[in-house]
Amino acid sequence: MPPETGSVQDSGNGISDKEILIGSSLALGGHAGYLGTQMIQGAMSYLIHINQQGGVHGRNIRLVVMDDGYNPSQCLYNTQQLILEKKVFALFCYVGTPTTVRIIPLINEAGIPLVGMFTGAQRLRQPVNPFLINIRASYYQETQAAVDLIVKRKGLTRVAVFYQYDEYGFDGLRGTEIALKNHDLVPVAKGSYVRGTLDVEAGLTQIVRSDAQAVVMIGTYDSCAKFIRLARQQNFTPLFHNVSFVGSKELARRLGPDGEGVIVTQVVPPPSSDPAREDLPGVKEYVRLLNRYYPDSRASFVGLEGYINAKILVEGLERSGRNLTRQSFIRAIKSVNDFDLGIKNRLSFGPNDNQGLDQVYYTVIRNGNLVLLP
Amino acid sequence: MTPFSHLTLKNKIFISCLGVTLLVSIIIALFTRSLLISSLTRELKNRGIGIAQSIADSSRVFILTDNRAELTSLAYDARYGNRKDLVKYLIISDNSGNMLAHTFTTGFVGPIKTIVKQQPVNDVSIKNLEMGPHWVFHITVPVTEGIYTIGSIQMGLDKQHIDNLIAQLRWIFLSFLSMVTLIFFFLSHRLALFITRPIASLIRYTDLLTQGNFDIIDSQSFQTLKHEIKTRNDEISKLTDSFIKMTARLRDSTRSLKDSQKKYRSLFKSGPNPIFVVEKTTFDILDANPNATELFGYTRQELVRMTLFDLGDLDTASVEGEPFNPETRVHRSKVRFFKKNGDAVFVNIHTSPAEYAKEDVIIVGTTDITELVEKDSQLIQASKMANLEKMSAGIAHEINQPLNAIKMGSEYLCMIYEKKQTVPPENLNMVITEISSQVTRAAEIVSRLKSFSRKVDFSRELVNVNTCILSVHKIIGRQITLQNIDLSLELDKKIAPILAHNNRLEQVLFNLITNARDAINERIETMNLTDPGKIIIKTFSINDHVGIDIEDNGTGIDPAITESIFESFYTTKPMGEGLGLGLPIIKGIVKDYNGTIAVSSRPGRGTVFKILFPAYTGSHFSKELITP
Repeated sequence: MPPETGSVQDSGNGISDKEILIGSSLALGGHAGYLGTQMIQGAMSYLIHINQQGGVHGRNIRLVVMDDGYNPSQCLYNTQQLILEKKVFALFCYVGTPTTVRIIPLINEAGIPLVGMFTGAQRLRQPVNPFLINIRASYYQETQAAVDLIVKRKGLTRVAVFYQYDEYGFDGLRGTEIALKNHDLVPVAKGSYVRGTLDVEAGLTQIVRSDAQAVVMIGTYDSCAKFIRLARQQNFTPLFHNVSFVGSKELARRLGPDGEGVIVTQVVPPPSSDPAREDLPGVKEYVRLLNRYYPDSRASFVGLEGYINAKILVEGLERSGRNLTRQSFIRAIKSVNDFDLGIKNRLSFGPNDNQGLDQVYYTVIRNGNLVLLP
Repeated sequence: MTPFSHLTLKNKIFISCLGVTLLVSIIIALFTRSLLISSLTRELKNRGIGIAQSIADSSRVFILTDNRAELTSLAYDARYGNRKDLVKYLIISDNSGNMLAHTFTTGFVGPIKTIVKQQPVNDVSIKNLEMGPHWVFHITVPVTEGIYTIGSIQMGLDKQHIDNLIAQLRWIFLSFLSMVTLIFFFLSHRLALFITRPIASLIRYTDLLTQGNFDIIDSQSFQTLKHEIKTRNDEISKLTDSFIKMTARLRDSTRSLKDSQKKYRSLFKSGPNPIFVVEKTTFDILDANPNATELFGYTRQELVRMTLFDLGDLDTASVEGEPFNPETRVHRSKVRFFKKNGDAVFVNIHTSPAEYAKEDVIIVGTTDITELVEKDSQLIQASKMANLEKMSAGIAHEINQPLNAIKMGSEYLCMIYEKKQTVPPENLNMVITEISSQVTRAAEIVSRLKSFSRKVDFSRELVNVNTCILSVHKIIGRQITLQNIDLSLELDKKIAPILAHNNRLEQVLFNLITNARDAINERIETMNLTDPGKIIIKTFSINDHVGIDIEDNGTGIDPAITESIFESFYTTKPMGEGLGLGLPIIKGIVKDYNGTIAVSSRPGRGTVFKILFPAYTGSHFSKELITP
């Protein structure tokens, strides 16, 4: 469905003299609650910081956050409420592939921009939709990097895929298969589980039977942690490779010693909990602001992503000026080019590029901590 | 006459085919419109109800648990599912009409909340509603638990979408029909051409043939047509075949016609006789052959400006009998024509009706018989002279009588003079009067002789037969009487004039009377009979004819020779007495004036010659008539 722009955005678009209303539906509880919480804290750290400095062009940014519990139906309902009842100006910081994919029709119908999704799903990137503003690298890029690492650097050819049986998992599976195909390989086994459950045993059995040398895992931290633990109990120890959505800190925490050697690709550099030891200025600022506004929280990859999302949102609003419309906002975001986030890799959008960052980082769990793979 | 009938065959076929195609197309279009469109609309409504009912089934549990997120999810599934173009909105409400979930993302359209509240939710219903700028079919389907209604699914089917589908269908049909029409346009055009192109070329060739251009038969294009037609086997090919045969036949016959025309033209030109082509009613000369110009001395250009009557006494000919009738072949003899220099030419005329350059004409063939006529005259003259010679004694006697009377008178006068007597005035007067009368008488005889012996040309004039008889009587009457033959005249004074020549007619009578005299004398000498000789001349009218009977009581003619007496050089007279030209010449003269001569005779008792001439009825006039 082609995006309907211009027809509805001027009435009740969430902009008042003092305030810009931004809506967000994400998992604050349930099995993916960690992701949403981390993300919103990272984002809020920066937004509170901006509001305290007087907001953007004299307007404070108010975030309306609704919990969808990683449930697509709930996410859809929330989004309808945000657009119809709350009349937010833009949507922001959605978490998860099935949830975000579910609301694409609403975004198109309402012509409302969505900035920063914690998902690398291809559906949000191709075909290019002007309302969807991606910031992080895609799952295709992450799985490509994973396969490159497994096949090229480790020289392993027997690769299995373990995935969540929904949009997110399918997306990762496709990416892995495409990447393997470039090496003339196919997955030796595929195992899956249903979202929101921990029923990983059937998938594990299939993968164990295939005697895979490496397993690319596209799932959430709870299921993947269980899978790895159960595998180790069976003395099945291939190279476990997760993608960023897994929530690496939580994964590492849950696995404990079992997590040793598990690789996780990241789309942002790993933040260290102590700002003094941080090299990158952007990460340093994130840790600083998080520690100020959420002293109980610890810096994480997901949080850093939320923080970066907030920075881009603010940058877009800044560039749009005082006479803000959804269209001018989208144009402003698209004009962001070679933008320094202070994380070494610069951010760029383009007319046909609705994804700001392309960098993928390899991290490995060492003693319960995630460190960059040398 | 309708405008259609004015069209060419090609256009008739073309328009008929096209018309039928269009008619069929329109019928199909109407059929589609009435049947397909209504069934499509009905089908789409049923689809909508089906969707709503499946949503109703799925939503039951969520209505009971008031799970609005899942209800919204269901609603959006329907709104953005396979039927997203058809489903404009979907609302899930509870049994009191409160909305539990809906698919309005950016705002409610129109008074939808009121409408939803007002819908009776117990039955399936379809309503036609106006929703903002759109018209929708608002479908309501109840959600039941057991026998009770717990809510309803209300769904708007986009009428615009249905209309679009119908419009799309119409376009497809229209393009299909247009394509069919276009194909038929092309086909019917080809069909019309296929039928009419050979006909058109036939018409073209017929036109060329009409102009007499037969060379096209051998032309390249005609051969191509012939070859093309051979590849098909239909009525057109048969027509063309017949046309080709007809053309070949026509060419052959035209060629032979041309040949024969050439032949007749050369006959016309090189024929020995003058030939005229004259117009049927006016007798204008249209053409004349070189011999005609040669004979008459006119050029062809001069001739074609004249009528046939300007050339000669042609209309005179009609006085003699039936009028000059161009319808039948007519033969006229000894017609006098005039050359340019005024010389007379005698011709025989043959006419026959004909057609010349599409006009009814008469072909007039003439034979120059001037020489023949001249010979005729000479012969007649010779005969006349022979007669005169025979009569010279009588004539001399005739002249002597007045001379004697004059002498007696003049001697009386001399005697009186010598005796010195005076002549009594009454005697003097008597003598002088007698002398004068006798001179007149002699002069008259001389004059008659002169006129009789004069060589005459061949011309016709109005003649009274009685006058001729009296004239001849004057010459030889006394002579005959002197020979003791009683010559009596029984003349009918009321007879009509005839067209003849005085002199010639006199000669005829003269000959016949002298013949009669000779016959009587012969009878008297041979039979020594004493009863006096008798010649009776009668004139009478009979059946538009004038008749002359010359009757004698001479020797008569042997019936065995009556047939041959009119033959030339046949004579019964002793050698040296007759020339044998008498009766044949008489017959010739009578014939010249369209008369007949017959003889009836009883040997020893006498002979009757009967001559009949056609009476002049006076309907045609001539120069001679005015000045007889």
